[in-house]
Amino acid sequence: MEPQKDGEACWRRIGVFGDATCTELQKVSHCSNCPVYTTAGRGLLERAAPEGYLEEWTAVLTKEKEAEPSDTTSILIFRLGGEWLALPTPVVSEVTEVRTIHSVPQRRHSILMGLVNIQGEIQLCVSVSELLGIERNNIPSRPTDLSGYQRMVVVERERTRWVFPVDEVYGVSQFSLGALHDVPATVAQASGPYTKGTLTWQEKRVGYLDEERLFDAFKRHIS
Amino acid sequence: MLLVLFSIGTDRYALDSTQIVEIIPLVSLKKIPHAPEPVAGLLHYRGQLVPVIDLSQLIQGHPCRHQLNTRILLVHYPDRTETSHILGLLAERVTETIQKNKKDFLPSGVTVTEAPYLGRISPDEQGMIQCVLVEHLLPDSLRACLFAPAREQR
Repeated sequence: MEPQKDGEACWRRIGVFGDATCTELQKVSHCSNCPVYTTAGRGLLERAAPEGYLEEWTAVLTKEKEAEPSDTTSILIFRLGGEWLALPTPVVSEVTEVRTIHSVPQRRHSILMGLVNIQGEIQLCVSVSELLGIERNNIPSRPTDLSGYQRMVVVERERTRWVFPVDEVYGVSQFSLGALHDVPATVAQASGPYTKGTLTWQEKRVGYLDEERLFDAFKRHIS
Repeated sequence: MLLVLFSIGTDRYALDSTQIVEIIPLVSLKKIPHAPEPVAGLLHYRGQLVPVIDLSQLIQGHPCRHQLNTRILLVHYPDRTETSHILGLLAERVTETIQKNKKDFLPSGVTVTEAPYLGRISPDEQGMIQCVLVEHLLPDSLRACLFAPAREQR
């Protein structure tokens, strides 16, 4: 098959980017799966290197490689009120927009906020801010649109899921376990017993939560 | 096993990826005057000096063209004393890797004393791919030249 004809590549003439009359499409279904396309792509490298490219690379390769820290853990950083907190990403199963929390009859002083519909399944919604004693800015029980920062975080352990609302989710970050500082005794750290330590992130102090203690607390408050 | 493909002329060859340290572009090399022909030069690689062999010159007698896809494969080269050195192999069309099973390879049946590094062959729809055995790549004379025990250098 002639890849180039009058300067026009076959994928643009008879392929998916053209009129799709190529018989090969029945076999490969898209040009990107066709060996003619991949060979042509590789053929783009059959040319002399651009100016300055090799000089730049020669300089780069003389330097030692920076050793990347290997003992990093992936964490999800989020905010409750004025406090930034983190959980290890393996326990986080989802971050979603705020959903309606359907309240259930319950004892007072419980961290259970009610029930939430996440992806068609009813999940228990708890208040981590209540558990940790952190005051949040405002707690809407009705959904807000995504332009607000509030989200709901879904965590999971041993196939049991819990959902809790947060004021902001930064996202996922990496940190080195060696960078974990102990919780300072002098500072009034509300989350104290539930924190493994504090991290410094973007010049802020982030409380790294102990997920085991958190889950145990959730279970205790529900039973 | 994962193999890195390269071309010498129109023939395709493969290297076992487990022997490869890094694949880098064809950067400037220090030429070594009066060195044997396949020696392309010395490479300054992250603080150490690595000799580079032009595989096209070694295998087929003419040097590699300097295209964007001509690259240097840095491999672990074990010498007779079992110490490992890093050796640079300059080759053309280093753009692909493929997964193959050991059973896809047939012995070539032909032993060439001048080319003890030519290994098994795997046929595919585009032709045949021949494995290159790094440990047999350098003839004794070349190995002695590149990896002689360190002498006092004035």
